[in-house]
Amino acid sequence: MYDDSDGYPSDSYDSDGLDANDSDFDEPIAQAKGKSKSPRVEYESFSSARLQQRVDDDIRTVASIIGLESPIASILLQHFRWNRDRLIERFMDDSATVLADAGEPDVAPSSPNPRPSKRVRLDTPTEFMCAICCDTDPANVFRPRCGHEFCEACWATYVTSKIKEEGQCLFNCIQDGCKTAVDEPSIEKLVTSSVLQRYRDLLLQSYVGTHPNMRFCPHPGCTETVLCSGGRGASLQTEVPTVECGAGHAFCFGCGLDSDHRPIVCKLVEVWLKSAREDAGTSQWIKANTRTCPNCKNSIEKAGGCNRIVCRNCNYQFCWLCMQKWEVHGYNNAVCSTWKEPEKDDAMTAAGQNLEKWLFYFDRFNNHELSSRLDQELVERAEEKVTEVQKSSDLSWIEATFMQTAVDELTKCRRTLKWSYAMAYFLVAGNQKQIFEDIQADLEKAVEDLSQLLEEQVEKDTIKSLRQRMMDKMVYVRMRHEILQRDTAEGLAEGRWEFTIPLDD
Amino acid sequence: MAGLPKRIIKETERLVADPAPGITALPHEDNLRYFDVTIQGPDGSPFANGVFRAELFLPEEYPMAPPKVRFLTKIYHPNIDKLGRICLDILKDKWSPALQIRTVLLSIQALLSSPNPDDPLATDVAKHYKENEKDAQRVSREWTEKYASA
Repeated sequence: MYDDSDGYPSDSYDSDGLDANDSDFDEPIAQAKGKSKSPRVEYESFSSARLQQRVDDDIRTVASIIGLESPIASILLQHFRWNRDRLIERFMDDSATVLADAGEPDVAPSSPNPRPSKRVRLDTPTEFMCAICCDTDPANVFRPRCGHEFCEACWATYVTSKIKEEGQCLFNCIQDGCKTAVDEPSIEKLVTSSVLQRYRDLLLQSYVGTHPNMRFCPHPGCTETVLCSGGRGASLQTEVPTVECGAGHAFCFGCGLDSDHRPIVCKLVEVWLKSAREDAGTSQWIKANTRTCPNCKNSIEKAGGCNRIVCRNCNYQFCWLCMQKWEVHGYNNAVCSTWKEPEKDDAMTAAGQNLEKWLFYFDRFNNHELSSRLDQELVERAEEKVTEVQKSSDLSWIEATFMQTAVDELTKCRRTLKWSYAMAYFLVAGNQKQIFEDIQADLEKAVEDLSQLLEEQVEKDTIKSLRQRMMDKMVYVRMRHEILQRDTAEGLAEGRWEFTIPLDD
Repeated sequence: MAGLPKRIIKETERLVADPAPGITALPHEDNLRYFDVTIQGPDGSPFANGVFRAELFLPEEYPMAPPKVRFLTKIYHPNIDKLGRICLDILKDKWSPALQIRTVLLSIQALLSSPNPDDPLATDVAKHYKENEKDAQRVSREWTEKYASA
């Protein structure tokens, strides 16, 4: 199979069902990537359970080295921002100061009741008054290792509010001025299981947040964490450290963007997104989202996946991107995706040119984002039909998922294309940019062709041929995608690209 | 008042029976969480001989959350702004439920003796205090005389 030798950190191109059934599709791909050697980043994804285990292991290791109980080791580690080696070194030098700085009470860890796991029932409750609620006969009194007794209910409310309201996992005793941190066994005893879970999450957040080589998966609701040795500092000028978490979400380890932004580097993404945000909502943005028919001036909003637009009003056909008449334009048009640098003696002002150039690329960037969504909608509508047809044909259920497979492929390619337009915006005009835009145009065309196939009507007697054509096209798209990714990654590594703004600042 | 926590009742009783020197705090009859406060300016400070009125409110979460305190008398102090809001750590992140109304008011009184222009709330006053402390103290005294004389 071809997921091992490609330039992707994992088998992001694996498309279930296809590989298993269509061995004849392997051939062209295998050839296309025979010598693939684009750089990849080394990384590992942790589920929250495995991360928890890692944190626990760290705590246990430290505890055994410095000879203290795990809860205390955890507190010390947090005080040292999880820097294990520095903590151990400092502790070996001067354990008394380390403990005092972290607010540990003077009592030795072997004092009678350092772990407040037993409920203390006062023999003479009338003598006790909780200084927080002034209750003289509380059901239980809680005494942490620093010895500051308050009733258990007050302790529980306090700890819960620290964790839930303030989002802290390292906080001190209730007593004013007491620097002793509340330890995990105390928290475990005092709060409900959901608050305890929140505490553990906060602890993991603090761990990952201070770890130079870890990042949470930025996808909403995802609990995976990625450990990556690279993807920091100067290497970000020559590579895009795209990683995929254990749940299959691709994101950039360098800047944390929740999407694969290859081929463009992090620094340029930041500049691009900032410009895009500033531009959003202005007339330029509106311009990028609606069009007027070149023939009858009717307003048109794009509602289908491909760039061939047929005006409802006058039936005029044109390309959504360059507004050229479709009869002239056709599907095979590289001109449409190439930015033409204006002539030197052009009367346009520099600022005007800049805006034009920005709009040109921003338009194409936006267009792919929009098209991705539309492709998906198209497929959802078509899927019903496919299922219906599949029941009465000899296609297997797996074979009938080809449309979704094609859309998944399209989505990936459109994402790459989208960012490739952002990258092209920053490329200095010249031969290298020319080559880049040629490769981009090839992919653009392949993607549009495939997108067009999605719009075809699904009929019982044509579904097999449609499927065949779609699969063929998809293999081609995949190949073009691979070529673009590999070429740009190599270009970055070699320093071949020249950008209009500096990458190092 | 129904449902007033025991803690607040106890504190109120103690404030009345055994008031801190130079400080009074009386709850409103219709709202026992709302106190009228007076603080005497500490001797030796530019606020000496002044009596400063303040309001103190105990929020629902008290004592888990700090009381809200605000000066009602105009005061020229780098950590107190035009609206009487006070910049004091124990009223914010350093709050401990073990602190009380009494300790809070004593801390505010101490703040009058030792202004902290490096952590200002009223930036113009703080600037004045940092650049020309003598002159700033003169203004503080003037304001005390003008607005806080009993």
